[in-house]
Amino acid sequence: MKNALIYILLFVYIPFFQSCKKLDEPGSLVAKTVDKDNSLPSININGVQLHSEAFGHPDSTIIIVLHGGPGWDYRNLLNCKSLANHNYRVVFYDQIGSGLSQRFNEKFYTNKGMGVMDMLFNELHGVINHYKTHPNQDVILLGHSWGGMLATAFVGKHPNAAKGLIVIEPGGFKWGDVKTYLSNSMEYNLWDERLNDATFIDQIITAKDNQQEIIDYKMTVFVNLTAPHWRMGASVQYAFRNIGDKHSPNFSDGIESFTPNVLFIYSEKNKSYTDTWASNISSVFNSVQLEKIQGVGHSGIIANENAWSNQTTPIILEYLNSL
Amino acid sequence: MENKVISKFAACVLLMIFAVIIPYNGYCQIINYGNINDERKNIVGVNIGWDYSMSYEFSQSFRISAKKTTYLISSTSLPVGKDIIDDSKSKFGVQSLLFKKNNFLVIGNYAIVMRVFRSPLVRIFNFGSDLKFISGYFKENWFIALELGVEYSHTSHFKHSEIYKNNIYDNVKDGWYNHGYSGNKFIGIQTGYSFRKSDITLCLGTINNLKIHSNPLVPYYCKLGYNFNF
Repeated sequence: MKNALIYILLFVYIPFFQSCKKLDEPGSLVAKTVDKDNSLPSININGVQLHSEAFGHPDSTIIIVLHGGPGWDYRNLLNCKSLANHNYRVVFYDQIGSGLSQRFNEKFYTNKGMGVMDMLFNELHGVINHYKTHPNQDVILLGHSWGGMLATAFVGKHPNAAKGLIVIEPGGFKWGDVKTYLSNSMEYNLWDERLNDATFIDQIITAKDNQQEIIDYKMTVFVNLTAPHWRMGASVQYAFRNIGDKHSPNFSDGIESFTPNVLFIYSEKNKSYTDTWASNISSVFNSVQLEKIQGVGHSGIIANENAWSNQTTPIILEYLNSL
Repeated sequence: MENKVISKFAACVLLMIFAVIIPYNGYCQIINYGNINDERKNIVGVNIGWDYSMSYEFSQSFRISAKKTTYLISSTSLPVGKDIIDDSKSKFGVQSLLFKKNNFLVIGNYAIVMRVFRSPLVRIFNFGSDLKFISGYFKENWFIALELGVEYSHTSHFKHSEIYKNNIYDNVKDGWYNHGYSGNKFIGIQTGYSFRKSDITLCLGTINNLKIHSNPLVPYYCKLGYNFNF
């Protein structure tokens, strides 16, 4: 009888165990990235394959849409596509290690220290150059959340690279402000379901540094991502948080040399983004137009169809016409 | 002979089901080996503390061998929150005295672990195991010991929600997944005070990933408990 039990274990459990799928099998739990799925639209910038799409006439003024995170993606910003109907060339791309763009280990970023910002600036330069059809083609940057911080840092270093700048609820520009904003918007209660859901998964899913599928999936479950997104970029998110904590960057360095008027948009329902906070954060710009979108929160400024069509788009078009 | 084995096997299966249905404890199956009484074969306990999440825990131990001081142990922990039964961790295993010299003891513990996790995105049913060694000084009224071990996650069944399919990845593959020998290692102390038929226990320690990446967000555990011996 004892032998029978052992045979049952050997002949049932082991084959079952072997037949299970591997957690890090590309395409199983999270979508494949562009380097593993040729059918996805992609561009090659500085040797890195990025998930990217563009809409509108190629010769029109380019609007580069920069997503949040770091580590999120442009899927929830796709409403910006409608700006192509107003004679703009709208360009989307998932930043390195984010969305469906190529992945790298966390150390790839952390080893660069603050040099990681130059890597992102070079990437953005590369994207602009890839889509420009003529040298005098105007470029506008539209950054949501982290994308707004990246766009501000970029024009601070390259003030002539963009004709206009639209920033939408950047967490902050000085690292202290970013930390304050993050802690205000992610307050957890020890007895809260959300916190316990987030931490419980730690005992079920663990991953090596190079198992990007698992790391990204775990992050998706961890943040309980219910809004539309392609795929989380967990390594880049961990890395940037570590780099920020170590170097306390100021993303508004050099912004005084950027002279055009800046459109700064925030939302009514983001309780961490009060009028005072928006006013303080936007004070780094030489000239700024502050606008508040009613009835939505952080993502809804663009992702909510109603708010996008009736509030955000008219404000953006008016700003673009004023440049 | 065969009937005896079958009954033992059936008893084990029943106890495993019992361990899943009735709430018990996770990390710390704390027994004061200095306070074992021949007449008391059962220990029931309740714990509260942090074990990957803020959890309520209940445990039961049954001494099956007086000579080797071996216990069958079962436990389940339920994380706090709005929906208290959506997630759970249940264990069923054996804990036995391996070495004794005066009041210094070494104890081994092996358990099968079943975890259930539910969120708006996915339901995961996970099988794992854990192996733990406890070594310390046990007196009738008190004890203090070091515990160290590993907690593995072996296989999981994933079932994703429509929210995940519609908003994140429509081609996600539900089913059984193999984790290999992934998991976390832990090291900590356990201590307690015993009086009459009761023990007040405390355990605390740190948890680290066996792999390189993704240490737990809160890499510590800490539990306060009460045991009743009968």
